[in-house]
Amino acid sequence: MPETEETKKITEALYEQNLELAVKNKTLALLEKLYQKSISVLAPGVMAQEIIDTIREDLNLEFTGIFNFSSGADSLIPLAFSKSDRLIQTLNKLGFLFLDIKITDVKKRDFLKKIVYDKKFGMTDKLEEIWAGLIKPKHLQEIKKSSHIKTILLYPLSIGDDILGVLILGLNRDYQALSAFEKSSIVSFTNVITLSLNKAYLYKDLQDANENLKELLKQRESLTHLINHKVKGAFTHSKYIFAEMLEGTFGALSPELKRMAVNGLESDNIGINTIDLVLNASNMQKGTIKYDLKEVDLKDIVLKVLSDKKIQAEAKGLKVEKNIKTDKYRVLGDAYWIKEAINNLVDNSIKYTMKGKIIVGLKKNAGEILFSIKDTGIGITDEDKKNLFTEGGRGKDSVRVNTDSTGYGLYSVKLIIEAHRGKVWAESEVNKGTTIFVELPLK
Amino acid sequence: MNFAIQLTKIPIRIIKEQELVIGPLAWYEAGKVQGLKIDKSHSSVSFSGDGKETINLLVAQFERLFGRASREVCRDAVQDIIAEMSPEEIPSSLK
Repeated sequence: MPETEETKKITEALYEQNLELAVKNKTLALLEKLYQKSISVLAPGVMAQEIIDTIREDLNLEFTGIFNFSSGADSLIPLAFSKSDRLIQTLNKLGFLFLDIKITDVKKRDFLKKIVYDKKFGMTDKLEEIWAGLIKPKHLQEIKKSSHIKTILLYPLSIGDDILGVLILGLNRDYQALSAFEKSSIVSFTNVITLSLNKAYLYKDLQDANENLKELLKQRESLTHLINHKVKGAFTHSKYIFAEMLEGTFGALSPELKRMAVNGLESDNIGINTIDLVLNASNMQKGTIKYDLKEVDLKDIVLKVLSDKKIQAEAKGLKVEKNIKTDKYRVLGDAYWIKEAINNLVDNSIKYTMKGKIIVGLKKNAGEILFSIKDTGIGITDEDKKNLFTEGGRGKDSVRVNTDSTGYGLYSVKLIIEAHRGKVWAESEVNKGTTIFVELPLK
Repeated sequence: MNFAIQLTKIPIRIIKEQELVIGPLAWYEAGKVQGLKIDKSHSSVSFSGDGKETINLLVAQFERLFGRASREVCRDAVQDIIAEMSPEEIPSSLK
């Protein structure tokens, strides 16, 4: 078909449209490649190397590199560099690699300062602007000449106000000679590199934190073993000596000796109870406690605990009121551990209430049973509320009132209740008192 | 790098870049250029005459069919190669 002026115009217009699509396609293909690299590798150094190798090869660049920025040291630390064969040959001859040269005193280098601190794009034809004072001028000249480096582009890699590093691209041509594809790709992949690096560093931080945690858990395991076998063993041993003394095994005791034996026994019991509390919390945390779930009446447990604690409350002159209707309060739970939790809460209320009363309530809601224990104690400050149910979370005032506070009581309650698919929380006002609520699913 | 080697890299770079825009037609049209021999694997070329002139013919072949934009594509595709050639070594169509 003979080509008319009109068909020629149409062909040219179609070509231009295809060209636009081809540029976008190429850019997308490069970004896809970089994305694949960023998800297949997690170590920041390896990932950075793969990314800049890809960029250098696809854009026919002399070198590409990524620096990490250390704000504390005001330095750019090379993370990865990719170089053309001829640049590698030159550098081998000169006896150094860019990767081994840390750029110090960034603030004193006007060109780099603009990129790092002002987060502005930088372009230069002088290698001295980057490596002055670090590489001999004659070596820089040789690199430039033998590798035909005409232009060096530098892009800040930043997220928000944070600067992660700098991307450096070495070209054997002028910036103006870059094609539309190359220019648009550079802008896009700078963002991809920033995000990928950020992700890689987050992953690395997470991995380091995980390693530390494993180490801490190992230490904790060994400490738990030590406490269980040695410390608790020592307490138990002296407890039986004091008990035997009081039983008269070693003959009649003078009143002074008897008083000391009673104090010793009490002190050993506190020690053993504390160790049990900490060890139980540790076992609950590890998930090594097997709960024997059966239908239990929460009312029976609460009444038994109140009966056991009656003497303790009366000794302090505290009145204990019950707000419990005659009904069944059935929950699915391990009676032993639920009793431990309730015992802990009642014990706490008695310890932290100097005068007044304690009101214990049980209520049936839709699908749940709500246990509450309200006291007229010292209350909890807002600051202490944050640590209330956390491991070792002792409030400032609580230590003043109860010197034996371990910080494991309420934490254990939380672990027990949550293991029973319930929840526990507190409402409190300083100097007015505290109410602790426990909600458990109704059976 | 050797001038002759540099020159033989140019047609492949140009045709591959045109292929991204117009598809296999790029190889078909390049095949019509006198003095340009393309190997079957599309990885290298040789010239039977003056290399610079053959490259000018190749660029002209695309420009005749697709206009001025195609000439720019040819130039952009080889910027890193011609950057290292002396002005007299560069085919006039790529200057």
